[in-house]
Amino acid sequence: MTFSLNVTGSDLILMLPEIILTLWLCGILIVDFAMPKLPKEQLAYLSVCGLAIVLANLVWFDLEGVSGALFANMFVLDRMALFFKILIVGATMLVLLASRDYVQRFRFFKGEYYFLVLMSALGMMLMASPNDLLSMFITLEFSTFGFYVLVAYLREDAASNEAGLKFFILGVFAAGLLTYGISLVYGETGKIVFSEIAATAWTPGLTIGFLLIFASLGFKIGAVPFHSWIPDTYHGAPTPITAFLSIAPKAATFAILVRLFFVSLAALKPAWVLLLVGVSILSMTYGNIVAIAQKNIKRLLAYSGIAQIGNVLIGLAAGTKMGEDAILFYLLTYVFANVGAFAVVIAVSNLIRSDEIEDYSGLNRRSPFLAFAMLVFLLSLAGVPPLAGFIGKLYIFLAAIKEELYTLIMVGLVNIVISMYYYLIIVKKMYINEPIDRSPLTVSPSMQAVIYVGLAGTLVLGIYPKPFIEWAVAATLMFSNFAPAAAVAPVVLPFGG
Amino acid sequence: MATLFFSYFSGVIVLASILVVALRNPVHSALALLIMFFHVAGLYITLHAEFLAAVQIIVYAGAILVLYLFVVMLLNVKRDEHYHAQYPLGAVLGVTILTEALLLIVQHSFSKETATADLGATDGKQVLEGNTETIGEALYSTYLFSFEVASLILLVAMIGAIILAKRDLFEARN
Repeated sequence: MTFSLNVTGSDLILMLPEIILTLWLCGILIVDFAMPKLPKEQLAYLSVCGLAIVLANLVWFDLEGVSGALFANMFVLDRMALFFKILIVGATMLVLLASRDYVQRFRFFKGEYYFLVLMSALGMMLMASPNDLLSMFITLEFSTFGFYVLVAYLREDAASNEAGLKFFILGVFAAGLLTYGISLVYGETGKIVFSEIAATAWTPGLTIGFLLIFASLGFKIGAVPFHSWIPDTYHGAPTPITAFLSIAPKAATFAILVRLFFVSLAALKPAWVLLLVGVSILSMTYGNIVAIAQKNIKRLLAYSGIAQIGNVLIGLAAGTKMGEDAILFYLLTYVFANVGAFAVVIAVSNLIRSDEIEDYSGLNRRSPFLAFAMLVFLLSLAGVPPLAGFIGKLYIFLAAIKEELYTLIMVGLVNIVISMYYYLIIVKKMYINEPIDRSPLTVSPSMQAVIYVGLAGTLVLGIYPKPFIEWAVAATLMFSNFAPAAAVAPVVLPFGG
Repeated sequence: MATLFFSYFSGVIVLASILVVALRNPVHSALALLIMFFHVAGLYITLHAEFLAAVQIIVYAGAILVLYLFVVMLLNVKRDEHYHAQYPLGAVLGVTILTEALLLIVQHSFSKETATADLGATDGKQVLEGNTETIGEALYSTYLFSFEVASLILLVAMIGAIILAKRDLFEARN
């Protein structure tokens, strides 16, 4: 066994966004500590500034076509990784802006809140890059650690404590499953790099190992039957954190899932398609049916999130490059619609201190802007043209039609109708019901900014999706050898400096 | 000589493990567990796994067991009879695991040939240098990325622990 480290300074430039963010968040910690008089809102803007620099860096990499691999192929920076990093950094910026007013509710450690959000964002950025089981585990746990604390941040609120404890215990259990799965795969193959695992012979131990890994990743994305933590955690967590949890870790986990299924397990596609079809059908149906009965908007969005993940899994089940493009585009539309919907929930909750759907009655009379924004986001989540969600759903269904997964598509279509029902109930409450309290609501500038960005994204992606689809297609070029037919040869990846 | 050490360590391990579940006082049980951990570490040393032995003592005996003792003392659990009602369940699980272990031993004959064949498969570097050096070298070269990320995890965990635990102090002061 020989070990070597062939990393030069110029190689490390591949990790520049992560390095900038690490330094920036340490800086925020120091500023928070050294200047106790500084209003904490300034830290929010400082964090957003740091993320803007990272975002500019990532976009520059993407335009320049920077790519490569570091640490013996364990850290890869390709266009797919860049896509997910841009998505995560963008979502984090929106969440930070949406948190600005909400943070006033915390009695202590207001500054550390921003630090932990940035730390989780850093973990998820790293999650877009690992190319082996060890880095996958480490980055996955890194991103989750910040969330364990953030979910329980409302110490005075029993629901938040309960949410934090449930999330922690189930999360640690999932981490245990993941390590057990990894140990089985490593024991059977002696390899940890994804592309090297693909080249080894198949054994029953590997099946169990990969099922355990899938169960743990399924926990992170909240797919049925690994969803049990979602409703209570989403309900109890501070709402900006719920918004963050509902999109960023899921997107980052999809980056890992795609690499795992398309690289390590490429040769076994016929077997895993069935597994994914099953999980996808269960997630969509369970999420949508249980969402109907919800009285709390955060719980409703939690269940709708389970159903949306079922939709994304359709793209993975298609198992083609087109399905992969559809996943990326769908996640992009989901960021805008979901963060937007949660921004409205945060704004309403800041003003009337309630998350009950009943209290949304007559929202149109009290704040036409909030009601209209919620209408657009809900319709986008339901998939109504000409909004972003429609193109996303269309794209993902087309990918499945090409693979002739007709049962999955039928179930998916029925589920769209079911989801329409509970989304429209909220719309009816907002527009038709009479408000109990008629006082008008004024929205703060930072919340307005988040909602406008969400609206702009939802409309632009819906009306003119071409450049974004092209971006998604370009991001997955490395999977272009995935023919639409079922039989696929083991993949050789065009990685490397 | 090796057989002598092996029978001493394994004998104490079995005895101490039985004491852990049989003793009525939780503190005594924890101390028996401590003896067990030390002897497992001794067993690792006879197998030339000195790194594992050090980790066994530092992590298990040093950290996890102290945590157990804290919990036992803070919660003031004395002679809790509650768990002794679970003997039937314990017996079923114990017999199952014992059968599995016996089956494994019967199916694989752990002879000297297979042991040396396994050693020959690697280039024997860790035998020459000692495995602590080898692990250290691997951590700081091939697995540097994971190692650095792990240090960030510790930073988050530290700050998270302060946020979750220290809040009561602030509340008392205000």
